[in-house]
Amino acid sequence: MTSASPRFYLMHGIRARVDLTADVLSAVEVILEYHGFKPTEPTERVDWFVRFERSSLRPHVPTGADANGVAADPQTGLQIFRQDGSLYIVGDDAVAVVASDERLDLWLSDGVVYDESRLSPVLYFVLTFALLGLLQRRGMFAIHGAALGLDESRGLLLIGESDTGKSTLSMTLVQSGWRYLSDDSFFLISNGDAPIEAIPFRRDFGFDADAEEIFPELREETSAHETQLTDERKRRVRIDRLYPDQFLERCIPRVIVFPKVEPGEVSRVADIRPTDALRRLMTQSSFVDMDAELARHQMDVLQRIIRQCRCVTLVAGADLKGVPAAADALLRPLISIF
Amino acid sequence: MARMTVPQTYKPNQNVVVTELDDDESVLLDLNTRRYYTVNETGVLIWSQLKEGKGIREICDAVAGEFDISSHDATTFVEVFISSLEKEGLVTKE
Repeated sequence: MTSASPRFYLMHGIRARVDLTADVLSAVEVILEYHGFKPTEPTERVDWFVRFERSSLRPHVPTGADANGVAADPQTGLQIFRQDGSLYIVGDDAVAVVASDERLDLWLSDGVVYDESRLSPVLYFVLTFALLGLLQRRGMFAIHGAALGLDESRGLLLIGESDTGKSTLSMTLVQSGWRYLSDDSFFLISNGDAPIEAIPFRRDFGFDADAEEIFPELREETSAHETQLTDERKRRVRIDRLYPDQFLERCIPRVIVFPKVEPGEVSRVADIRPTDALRRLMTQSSFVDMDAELARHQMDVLQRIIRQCRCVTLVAGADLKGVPAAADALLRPLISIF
Repeated sequence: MARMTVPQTYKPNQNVVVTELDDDESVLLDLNTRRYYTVNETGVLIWSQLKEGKGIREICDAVAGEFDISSHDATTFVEVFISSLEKEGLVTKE
């Protein structure tokens, strides 16, 4: 396989050098850009070394009793485990090894052709999980959910499974003037005793095709008919093109909302117990690397964000759908006291 | 027949992370299995006693005293709870 010249990226202050072969260049670039990695000029000052190898020789990975904490990811079937300080993410045609805080090695079977017009799910998930494992080591803990705010000191998190209305509600609030970090994934970070902060991970919004009926402005932005990399049913919307002045780089979350769509009911919020909130938050947290020290740090951050926030459930009825004033009137009072 | 069927001491799994909040419940996260469990305030007390290396008899006395229940009821609760922990691999017999 022909080597491409090294690529350099920047993401939340992390400088990454990526060495890869020419045939996977396009596929990898799409994934990194999707996760907010911005191409930069070559530099000697590098935080991460990411190296792709294409070969028919599969690297040795621990198996069975040799591997600690083996878990098969239910969505992808990938096995994730660690041994001797290294994190392994293992699929049939791809293996990632995070061997240190700064090194990620990926092996890709040379029997697989990576078509740049079509995403390889294995490549996407192996690379994404490996990046999440590296980010865990930097105290950046990924959460599946939306993050918005009135400003940097008044943030709101929407946490829930897919199809619980996070994107629709996020867009509705953006129409009301709220600022956005992400509709789907963000990081929680801690800085000593200061409040826990949220920073964005994936920045594009994703909508079902029928969302254009509620948000007509999407018709213009989805004209390219791009879909989400992980869910072809969803349109990928460059929200920064639609609302360029409302992007928020970071926020201190004050409210966590766990939404549930119930079209036949009147929208309402209700406080929930902290432990209930923690359990719900854990189900949407990426525990890629279960190293004891990392997991304790991650649980400490989750516990602190629960203490820091008011935690409520939201029953989202039809009265909220695409009605910015109603969504704003329901959620703004939760956050305005801060 | 003697009622007590569980051994006298159990050791908590070192790969369990305990997270406490303000509402008398805790979450136990097992790093090996990635499973997590919610335990109530009685469970929190029993877990903390196990962490301190207390024996079953001492734990039963602590539960009876803390929650003002009979020794018989406390013993029953502790036995059932610890059996559940053992079944899930959260504690091992010593």
